[in-house]
Order: sequence, then C-alpha cells, then structure tokens
Amino acid sequence: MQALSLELFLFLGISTLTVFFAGLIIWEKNQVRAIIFLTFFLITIAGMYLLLGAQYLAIVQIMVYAGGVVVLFIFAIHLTRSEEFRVRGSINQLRSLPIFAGLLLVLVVALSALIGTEPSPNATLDVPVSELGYLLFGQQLVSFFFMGLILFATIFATIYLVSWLIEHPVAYEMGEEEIEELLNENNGGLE
Amino acid sequence: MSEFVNIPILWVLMLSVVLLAIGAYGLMTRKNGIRMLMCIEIILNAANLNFIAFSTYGPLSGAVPTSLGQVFAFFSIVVAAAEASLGLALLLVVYRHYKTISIDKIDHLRG
Repeated sequence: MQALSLELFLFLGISTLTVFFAGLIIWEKNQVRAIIFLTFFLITIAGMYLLLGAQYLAIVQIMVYAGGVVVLFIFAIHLTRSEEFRVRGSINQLRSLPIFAGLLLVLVVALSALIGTEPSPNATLDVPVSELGYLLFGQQLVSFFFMGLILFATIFATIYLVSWLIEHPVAYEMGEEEIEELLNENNGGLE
Repeated sequence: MSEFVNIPILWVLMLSVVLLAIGAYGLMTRKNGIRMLMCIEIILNAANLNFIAFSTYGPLSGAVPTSLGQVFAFFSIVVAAAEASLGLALLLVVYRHYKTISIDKIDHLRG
C-alpha cells in the first residue's frame, strides 16, 4: 500500500471538487449559477491535467473551455427564456435505476482495470511542447487539416443558421403561424 | 515532484467513470436544451481525462512512449468547442421558432 504522498492528496482533493461541481451543474436550479459551476468544473479538470503532466492541454482547456465555451453558454441563456427546473418522467423511476447503473459501470471498470495488465512504469511527467508540435504537424497532419475543415464547416453552418434571424428581425415577436407564413413566402429560408 | 506519476491509473479511470455517469444521468433527466449541452460537456471532459491518463501512463509493452493521447485530447477539445457553438446556434433558432427550448415540446420535425 502506498503512502499518501502529496500527489495523491492533491488528486483526492481535486477529484472530490470535480465530482462536487459536476453534480452541482445538474442539480443547481438557477441556470447562470450552473454555468458558474461549469466554469469551476472545467478549471478543476485543467488542474487534473496539470497533475497528470499535460501542461499544454491544461492551458488549452482554460483558454478554449473556460474562456470561450462558457461565454457562448452565457449568451445562449441570455438570448433564450430561462425555464423552470423540471425532471422528465416519473421521479421514483429515476432515483434508483440510474444510480444502480452507474455503480455497475464503476464496478465493471474497476474489475477490468484490476484484472488487466498494469501500465508500464515509464510514465513520464515532462512532455515538452515541442514533441506535441512534432506530432501535431508531422505524424497527425491529415487529422489536423480535418480539424480545420470541421471548424470551417461549423463556422459556416453557425453563420447560416443565425443569419436567417438577422435577416428577419420581425421573427422575434412572431407567433408560430406567422413564422410559417414567412417561411412559405420565402420558399423555406430555414430549410 | 518526481519524474514518475505516483497516482494509480485506476483512480483516474474511476473519476472518469463517475463523471461519465453524472453527465449521462443529467443528459437523460433534464429537459432544458442548454442544460443538456452542459451535460454533454461533462461527458466529453470525462473522455478527455481518459485520453490524458492513458497518454501519461504510456504503452503496456516496452514500446516507445509517445504523447499521442494528448494530441487526440486536443482534437477532442476542438470538436467539443465546435459542437457547443453549433448546438447553441441551433437552440437559438429553435427558440425563435418554438418560443421554448424545452426538449419535450420540440416534438414535430417540420421546417
């Protein structure tokens, strides 16, 4: 049995915080507070990356997720009406079964990790960013270009989706039937 | 801090599974579209944690350890960001059309 080293202590603390914030994202009634907890959750995940020796990805995590995605979520909440907190289906059915399924999943992964081979001890903590750069722009160059293609398609699709709203600002105050009339006039702008 | 990782890989995998379970539970029970997208983010972060863990602990055999897992986690973060932006744009369009983002009420697939 290993002694409780500093890394293990940090891991236990950060993982407890991570699970705590992940639970709060779901169970918090106020949506804006849930986004704040999402930010905390993403930052604790970045701390976990640091603990596992992926410093570059921790920075990317904070920049992309905590900097970009969270702002997108806040804008989306401000542009839509906030809803009441409700649970789908019946409550009694939803209490026991998912918890049981989750515990079963934890058990299966624990057993398979215990039975399987131990990972090699050559786990290293100091991966230079240059090695990542060589992998990204050398061996995985095709994947990198496909990522660019995916991002381009996403930007194009997002602008196309939102541009219909910009062209028809009256749609903000319209009912469903009026929007359908507008769509029929324009030969289906949304399709 | 030593050069090697002192955390057993089992603990990291446990954390990842717990996060996956929490995210899947939220995805199945919440009916707000934005809340469901947040739960998808939790699930994707659990997957990224697995990538990083296996990248850090290296290959099973005596092969040369690479940090390829970090590169794939990087790709996963890019795809997650694209998914979030596109999903939120879709939710905006859905909200303008239906005046709600409750998933239960968006049940007919018309233009």
